[in-house]
Amino acid sequence: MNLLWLTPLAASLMFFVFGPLIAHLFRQPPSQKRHFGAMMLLLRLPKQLRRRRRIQDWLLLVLRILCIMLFVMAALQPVLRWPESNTDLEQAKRMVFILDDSLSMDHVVEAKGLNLDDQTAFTTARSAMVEQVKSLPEGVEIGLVLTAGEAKTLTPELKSDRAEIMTLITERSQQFGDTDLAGALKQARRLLDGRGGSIHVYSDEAGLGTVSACEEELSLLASQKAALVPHLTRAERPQNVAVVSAVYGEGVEGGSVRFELRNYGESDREVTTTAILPDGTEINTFVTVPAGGLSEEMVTVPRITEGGIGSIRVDDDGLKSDNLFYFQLPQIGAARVLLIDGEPGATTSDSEIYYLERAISPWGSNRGGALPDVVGETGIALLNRETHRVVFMANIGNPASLAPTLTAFVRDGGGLFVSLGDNVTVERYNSALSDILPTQLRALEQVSHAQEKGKGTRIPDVEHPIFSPYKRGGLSGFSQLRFKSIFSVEPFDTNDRSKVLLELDNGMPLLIEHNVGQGKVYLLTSTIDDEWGNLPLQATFLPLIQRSIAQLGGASGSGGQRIKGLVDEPIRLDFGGSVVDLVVDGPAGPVFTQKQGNSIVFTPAVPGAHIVHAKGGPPLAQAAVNINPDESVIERPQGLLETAAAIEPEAFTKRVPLFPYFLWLALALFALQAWLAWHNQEDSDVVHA
Amino acid sequence: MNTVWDPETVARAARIQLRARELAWGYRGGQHASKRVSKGIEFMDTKEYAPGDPIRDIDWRVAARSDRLVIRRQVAETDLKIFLVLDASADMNAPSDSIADSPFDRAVLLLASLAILLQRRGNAVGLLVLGGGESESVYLPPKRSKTHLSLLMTTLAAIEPSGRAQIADGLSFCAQHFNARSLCVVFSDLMEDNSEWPRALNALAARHVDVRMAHVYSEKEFELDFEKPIQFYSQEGLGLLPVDPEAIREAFAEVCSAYKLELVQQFSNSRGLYVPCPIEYAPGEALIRLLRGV
Repeated sequence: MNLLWLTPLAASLMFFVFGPLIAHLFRQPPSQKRHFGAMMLLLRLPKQLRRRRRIQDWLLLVLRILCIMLFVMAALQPVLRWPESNTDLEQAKRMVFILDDSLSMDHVVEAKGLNLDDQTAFTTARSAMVEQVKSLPEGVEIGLVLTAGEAKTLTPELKSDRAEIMTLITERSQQFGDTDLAGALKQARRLLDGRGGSIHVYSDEAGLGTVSACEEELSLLASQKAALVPHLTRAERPQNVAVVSAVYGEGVEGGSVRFELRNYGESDREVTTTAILPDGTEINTFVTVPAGGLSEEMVTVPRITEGGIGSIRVDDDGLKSDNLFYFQLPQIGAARVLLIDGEPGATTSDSEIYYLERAISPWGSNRGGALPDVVGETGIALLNRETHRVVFMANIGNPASLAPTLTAFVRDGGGLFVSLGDNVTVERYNSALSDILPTQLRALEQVSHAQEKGKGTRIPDVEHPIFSPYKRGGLSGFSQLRFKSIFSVEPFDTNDRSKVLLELDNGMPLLIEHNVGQGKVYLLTSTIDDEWGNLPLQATFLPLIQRSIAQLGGASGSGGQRIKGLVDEPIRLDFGGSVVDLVVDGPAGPVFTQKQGNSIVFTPAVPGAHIVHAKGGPPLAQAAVNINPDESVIERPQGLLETAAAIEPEAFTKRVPLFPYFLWLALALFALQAWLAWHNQEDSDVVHA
Repeated sequence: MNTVWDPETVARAARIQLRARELAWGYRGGQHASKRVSKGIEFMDTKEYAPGDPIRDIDWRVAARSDRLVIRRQVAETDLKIFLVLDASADMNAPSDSIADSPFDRAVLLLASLAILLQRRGNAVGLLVLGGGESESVYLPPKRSKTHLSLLMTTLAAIEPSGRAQIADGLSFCAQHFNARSLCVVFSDLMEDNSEWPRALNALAARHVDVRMAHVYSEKEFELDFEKPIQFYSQEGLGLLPVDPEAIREAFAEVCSAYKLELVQQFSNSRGLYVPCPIEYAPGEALIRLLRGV
């Protein structure tokens, strides 16, 4: 609401307000006279002191000044104006209701107490909208538009069935998307079809660009003679503290997660935050966030932490929907691998597992990856399901003592990599490990003479996750592998449970995958050292071991692509191979995906971890999806109607000329001061008399 | 001044006499106190010696007992000649809102009461009127008779305040005509240039005339107790003065206090007695002080 002066030049007349002031200061000598006996003493006062005057008749003076001011203000022709949309009868017959169901509308308008749901802006708006629809007369055509995410129309055309509209409104629930108010206005305008009508907007109008984005639509509304009636629905002083970022970084212990909290309210807040790691560990902190400000906090992650999607939760009752922020957390610390060395050498390099140990942990444990625990055959007792994810059995002579533990380990989800060697006895293996090996060992066979290079290898299925990264290059490295001796195995059926991953040129299986219970076994029919082949000497050795460990579950938390996303914004993921079997699981269940070539596209509707995987397979990608941070902004930098009034003043402004009010008030004051002056004069005359 | 035979004057004289008698009735048995010292006269009180006091009056026994010089003051039944001097200047008649009396009325009442009291005790009472519009001051020499008292009352009733009093001249007149065994009581608003008074007062003191100055004034005027701006005027030729009472009230109060202090100082220097007689207060206390001379 503001005041407009049509004739501002008349302000110069304001000079006349000094008239009464001067008149009251330099007035005529007082009319009252009195015989004064102590005149001699009065004359002893200094002359300046004797002349001292105070302003007399304050009330009269104020009245006169006010009177002149009001006359001048009347001459200025003031017009009071404020944004308002007038709805005429015709416009009231065609109505479109816009219900803001975006996330920011979840802010609490009225707290109900412990056992009752708080009244949010959304529930308030929904109730008010239902009441308004209920009160409409018969025959009014109504449309309904929603704003969350991408604005959508719930009624393809205007309808007269109020009950249906009310049902549609009542069924709506709070969404996590941002506010597409401009889109909603556009949809509403389309529903009105240029034939006039009124658009009732139930919204909190919050967000930095929410209203400013509507300027074009507001202008079009005015041109189509559509009335705009905002029903502002928001708390008087909304509160909200939200996590706006969370990032894992290196640091002491297992590193740290730094996160930022922003306070969108008008008063300082102290809030409890909880960092929830993928393994369920919760770390609490208390953070004070200044009003309108940002606070950064950090939590230290344990030295060994499972990778995945963690979250930061802030306990804030103002706007609960944005209390969780999801972030990617890599596998932290070593995923321990138990190496059972069947042929320890006199020196380190003579050991069976010399190459294997370095391939597992080429940079030590500080940079993640796996950390090997090397033991002898008797060291199986050290196997700990909590810390060891994979067991490597290298050239063990008699596995009988290990078999029960390893079988249980694998069935419970552990990974076992079995490599053979000259210690291996076929009978012992077949009898002890028959439950977990993919097939029976047959015999040790020399596939190449000592003078020859050895048999080369080939990959039956390059789509297998172990080899898929090499599809576009690097597969040739496997052709450099040469083996002179391997154990032959009994024929077995290749199926989902057992498959050959790598074989010699002559078709003998070299690396066989076998699923057992919840776990998995890889059988290498040759040695893991360089005694029977050149495997550890080739560039493919290290990635092959790393990928194998990953497949066996050694780095399940860090597997797959790691991406970030926002609610209602499409996420595209490119995969090297077929995506036919890929599915996306979100916090609310499977998410609809579109498959485009080697890519899948999905649009998350709720925040949280979204996992992409093949049915029954390990995660191929993990998306940490958060709400649009703009929706946490509960401030209302500009109003919808005010913006409309600024764009189209004629259509969205109410004007009231104040000239007659000022004039009548001035005349009344003039009469009052005249009466008061007359009354004072009369009193003075009485005293004098 | 009206003639003493004017019926209105006679009636007024009767009213003055009536009021004066009422006032004097309460003090009928009182003694006229005089600071005149006389041998064999009854002891009244003592006071600290001051330069100018007769040395023979020093109480040497007290001086011997202490380091102080003390004068013994004694009173005696005496037949003093009393001169009552009335200021009948025009401004003495300035009206008062709060009470019926003007300063002049109050002065006349006090004077008449005093005259009655003193006459009853056989003192000769005379009257000197300063101002009052006459070219020469009215003067009734002191006499003891009742008819003289009646004449004095009638004369008082006939006086219309006007003109200026010329107090200094009046005091000089007293100094010339009064003998040593006399009491001079002056009733005035003292609104005149007081620079010439000390000489006349000193002359009276030298003749051992006991001078008592009744300052009759309006407290309301001294406090400038008026709300709205007003034009004050004097009938003694001091012109018209528009003032804002509230704006100058404090300053004027300081001037009045300083003037009263100046008067006290002036009269005590001449061994006279200054008695303030604001018209807003009952006249009894002032009458006692004037009678007893303390």
